[in-house]
Amino acid sequence: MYKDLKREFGLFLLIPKNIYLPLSIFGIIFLIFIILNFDEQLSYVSSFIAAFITVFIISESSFKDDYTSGYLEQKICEGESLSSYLFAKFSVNLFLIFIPITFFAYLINGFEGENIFELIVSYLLMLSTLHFFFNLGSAVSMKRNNSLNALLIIPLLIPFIILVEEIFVKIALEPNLNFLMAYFIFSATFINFAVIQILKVQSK
Amino acid sequence: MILYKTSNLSYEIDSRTIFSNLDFEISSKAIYEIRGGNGSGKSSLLKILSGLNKIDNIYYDENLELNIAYLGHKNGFVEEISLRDNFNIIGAPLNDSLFKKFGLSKLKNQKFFNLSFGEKRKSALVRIISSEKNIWILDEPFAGLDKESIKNLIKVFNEHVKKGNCIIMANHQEELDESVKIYLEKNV
Repeated sequence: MYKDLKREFGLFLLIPKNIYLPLSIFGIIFLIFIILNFDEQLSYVSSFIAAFITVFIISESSFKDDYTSGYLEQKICEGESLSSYLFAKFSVNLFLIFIPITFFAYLINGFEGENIFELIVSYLLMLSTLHFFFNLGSAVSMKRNNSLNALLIIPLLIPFIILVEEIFVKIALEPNLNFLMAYFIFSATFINFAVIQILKVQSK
Repeated sequence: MILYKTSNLSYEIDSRTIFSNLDFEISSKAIYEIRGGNGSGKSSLLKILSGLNKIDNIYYDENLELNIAYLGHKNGFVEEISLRDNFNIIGAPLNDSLFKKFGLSKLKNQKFFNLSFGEKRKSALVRIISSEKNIWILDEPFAGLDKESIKNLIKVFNEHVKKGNCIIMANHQEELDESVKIYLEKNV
């Protein structure tokens, strides 16, 4: 576990574009929405859309570099855990991208309101769930080097998007936050399990 | 100690037979060379032995897991960072004597994409050699290496085997004198 964490954090810090590229994408899309001056009710939606596109773009090449370099093949052949590999990738994205994006979004939208803590947690759960789903698309499309298969994953996210609308537009936290948590647990367990099996098949 | 054993082993990809009727037994304390022409299934057999493609008709020793160091056609390093950083992030030791032996000492701070094909291959081999794994599974380890490096590598292989370990490699260059050959014939 430590070895994978060290590698993933090391890669992010040694290749700065891994950090500034997603934050730049998010910032630019968010800025466009600010300039378009949407209704205040849609301010959280604009940050959701910016986050959705950012996570989609960064997840597209989640495994491609490691597959192309032969690192994935080596890892599987040497019997190392792909679970800790996925956990390390998620941890790096959480601490170096998702948390800064969340902070940036709330800095612009404001930290007022009685449900601010629940909304911040919801935002992080949303980003994490998106990350896991798009990883599935990335794993499926790894060999063919295209995003088409990744786009096929988007229909799976439709109920998730409806859920997010309830939380961030209507601020209806109950029971939607519970459903979001369930969606997160489903993606963290089952989707990641599927990703591991797909990575093994793709590496053969 | 027997590490692998099989009789009448066959392997197909997309209904195409890659090899068939293969019998062998692999034990520790030896170098095994898998030999055959292009497309005869050398890489496929290495992937079977490493566990990437698990097949029922083969015995795997229970202690194999986590004891294998594998090198395929690709080197497994990140091109955009230096050789030193590549070793650091995976926790592989920067063994100075090995780096010197293979002429890599002056290249530690070079970005990996600046290295030649042979230098990249040697870097990957140094990773394998400096791991503490007993079984090395190597796909064409001599590819791209100069004569001096091949000589040094063979010495390292012999030392590794003398310690009671095992090397299994696909090789279609010059045969090693002291190795057990497993021949694959291409199925037309």
